Order: sequence, then C-alpha cells, then structure tokens
Amino acid sequence: MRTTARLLTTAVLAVSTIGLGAPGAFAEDHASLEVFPSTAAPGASLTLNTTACGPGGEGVGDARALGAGEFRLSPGAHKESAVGQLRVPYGVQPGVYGVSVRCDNGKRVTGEVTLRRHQDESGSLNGKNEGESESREGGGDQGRSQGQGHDSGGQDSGGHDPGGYESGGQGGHHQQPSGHVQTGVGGSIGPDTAQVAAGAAVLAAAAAGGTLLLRRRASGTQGG
Amino acid sequence: MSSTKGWCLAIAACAGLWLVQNGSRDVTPPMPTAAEAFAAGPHAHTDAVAAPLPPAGPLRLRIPYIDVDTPLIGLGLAKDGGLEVPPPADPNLAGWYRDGTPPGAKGTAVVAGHVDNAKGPAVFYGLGALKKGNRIEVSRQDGRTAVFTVDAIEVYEADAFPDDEVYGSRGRAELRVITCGGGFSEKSGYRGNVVAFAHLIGVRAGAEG
Repeated sequence: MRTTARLLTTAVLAVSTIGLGAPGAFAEDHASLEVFPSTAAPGASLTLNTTACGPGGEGVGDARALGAGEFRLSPGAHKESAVGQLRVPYGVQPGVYGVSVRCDNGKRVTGEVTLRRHQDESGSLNGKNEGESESREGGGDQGRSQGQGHDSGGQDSGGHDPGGYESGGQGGHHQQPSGHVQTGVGGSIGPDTAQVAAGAAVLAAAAAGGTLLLRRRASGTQGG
Repeated sequence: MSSTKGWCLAIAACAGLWLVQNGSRDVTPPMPTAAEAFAAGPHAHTDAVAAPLPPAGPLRLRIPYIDVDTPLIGLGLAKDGGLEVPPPADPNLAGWYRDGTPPGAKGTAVVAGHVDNAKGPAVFYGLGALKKGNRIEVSRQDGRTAVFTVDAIEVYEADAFPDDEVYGSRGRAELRVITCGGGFSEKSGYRGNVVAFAHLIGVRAGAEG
C-alpha cells in the first residue's frame, strides 16, 4: 500500500521535475527534450535525448539558434530514447537558447539550454582543444561582449545564471540532493532457507542412521 | 565399532541442528567493516588521480567485485530535496542524479540503487561488501569508460546524513554509490544508507570493457 503510494508520488514528482528542468518542453505529450548539461559554457558538448521519437526512433535536431546547425539523434542505449550531441560554438552570447527536435515519426519537442560566460571553464575546455585558434578567438569575443553587456542571445540574457551555479566546477549545477535515500524495503531479509533445508537433511540422515544402529544393536542382543 | 558410529551420528545431529538454527536467523545485506571507513586511513592504491573528463551522460555502471552490471537512468530531486530513486520493481537498475555532475566529470557524481525490493535482493545488495581499492566503472555516452577506485564505504543514519560530505564537490572527479543499509526494523525499514566513496583514476576509450 505504502509503496504504491510512494511510487505514485515519485512518478508525479519525476514528471514535474522534468517540467521544471526544461520549461520549453511540456508534459502534455509525455515526452520532453532533455538537454544535458542544462547550463553550459561555449565549447561545451551537449547531450540531448528524448523519448518522443519512440522506441528505436530517430530525429533531426535544430540548434541553429546556438549557431550549431542541425544534428542527428539516433537510438540510445535505452532503445526507447533517441540521443544526439552537439558542441556549443565559441563566441555565443550568454543567455537562454531553444533547441528543437523533429522526430522521423513527425513529433516535435523542444528544450532549452542556458549559456553562461566562458571564463570559469576556459582552463579545462581550452586544454581539450589543444590550443586551437578557435578557442582563443572565442575567449576574446566573450571578453568584449561582457564589457558591453549587451543582450542578444535570448529572452533573458541570464540575469540569474552565471554566478549562481558553480559548486562543482562543472556546468549544469542546480542543486545538490539532500538527506538519505530510500532504497530498500527489506525484501531481502529473511531466513536462509537453503541452510535450513541442508540442516534438516543432515538431521534426517542422522536420525535414520541412529534408528538403523539401534535396530542392529537390538537384533544383535537377541541373537547373542 | 558401534560407539564410533554413535559418535559420528551425534556429531551429524549437532551439525544439522546448528545449520537449522543458524539458517533460521534473518540474513541481512552485508555491512561494511570499520576498516573500510575513512577513519581507518587511506588504502594503498588511492593515490592515483585522473584528470576529469568533459561532461557526458552515463550509460552503465559496473562493480566487478560484487557482480554489479546495471544500466543507469536519470534521477531528479523529490519535493523535499532528496534524491529520487529508480523504480523498485526492476532488481537490476540504478540511477544517477541527472542535474548534477555526470560520472567522470569534475565534481561529485551521485548514483543510487535499491538494496532490495519486496521480492528480494536488488542491484546494490552487495554494496556493503565492497572494499577500498575495488574498481567501479561507468561507461558513458561519449564512448569513454570512467574508472573509479573505492576510497571508503561509510554507513550513515538517515537522521544524521552528512549532505556535504556525500554530495559536495571535492574539486576532482568523484563518484558516490548509495543504497539502503545500516540496520533494519520492521516498523521503520532500513535505518540509513551505505555510501561508497570513489574517485576517478583512469579512462578507457571503449565503452565496453
């Protein structure tokens, strides 16, 4: 009873969390476009997945708002979702950007990603780009745009984004979980039936042996 | 001659009794010994540290020492701020906190799975039997496999759960694997959590290994 209620609550919460995480995607069609990380810096690689395309389904993603063009989504490890990746180009302004996916089955889902400034990740990301000129240019571009503080990227050029995250040194941080985790109901706890059965078998054998022994002894006395 | 047989029978009877009695006691999931806690000091192999990977979602988690090989689903937060858990019906399924650090990236990635469900043992039943220095591997969507080493296994009471120690970042790529444990009562269920602490020591190019 209680577990059922718990399950239901969890399911409802899961749906509402997805809704919160990607406001562009509505829960009405039960499928959203998950963008991971949902907050990223230029140069970061984004992973997008959705269940809208159906089991084994594919689709085409549109990230032109980000300047990243189109990308393909193919069936992921869990066959029910389609997965695609893109890299955020350097030089994209901070802000909220929409990304959409049109599945081969005709369904369309949207999600969004919040871009923040490049600087706090530049070390690790530049390292990965082996010092290409692209990243150098990207950095300079970012510097200029911050100086001017203009607002071109999206609806909301991130009044809330750049500083607030950053507990882990990696993009996409919202909040860390708190408290313990409910991961068991005690269904594994109980007697060791195999051991009990073995013990019972040994006892039965001993009893049979004892009876035999006693009988033999009795017949021996009679005979003698 | 027959007295020898008699002794044999007596010993067999005792052994049988012991088996029955011992087997009737409740078997609980394995609990880590004090030697696996941080307080017991670092393991010899915990020095190596690998540079963090760029973020990419995880696919599967393997812990060869306790025969774990499970897909990972994304988990969010419940209304009370606690981590959601995977659906308990599937005994071989774990989840990761999808809004946090992905395994292998800089920060602390969190994986949770059930110790058991109503029917019996589940994916992380054996977590408490892990030892310092055991390997944990996470294959990722970018084709890489992040290899972690276990730093410690701790047990925490539910009402004294150290959030920052478990979920907080330590400035390098770390992993936590969490399940229920720490004693059980019919009324209140498991009293707390078993938490495996691990950090990244290597990366393999192939997703399967």
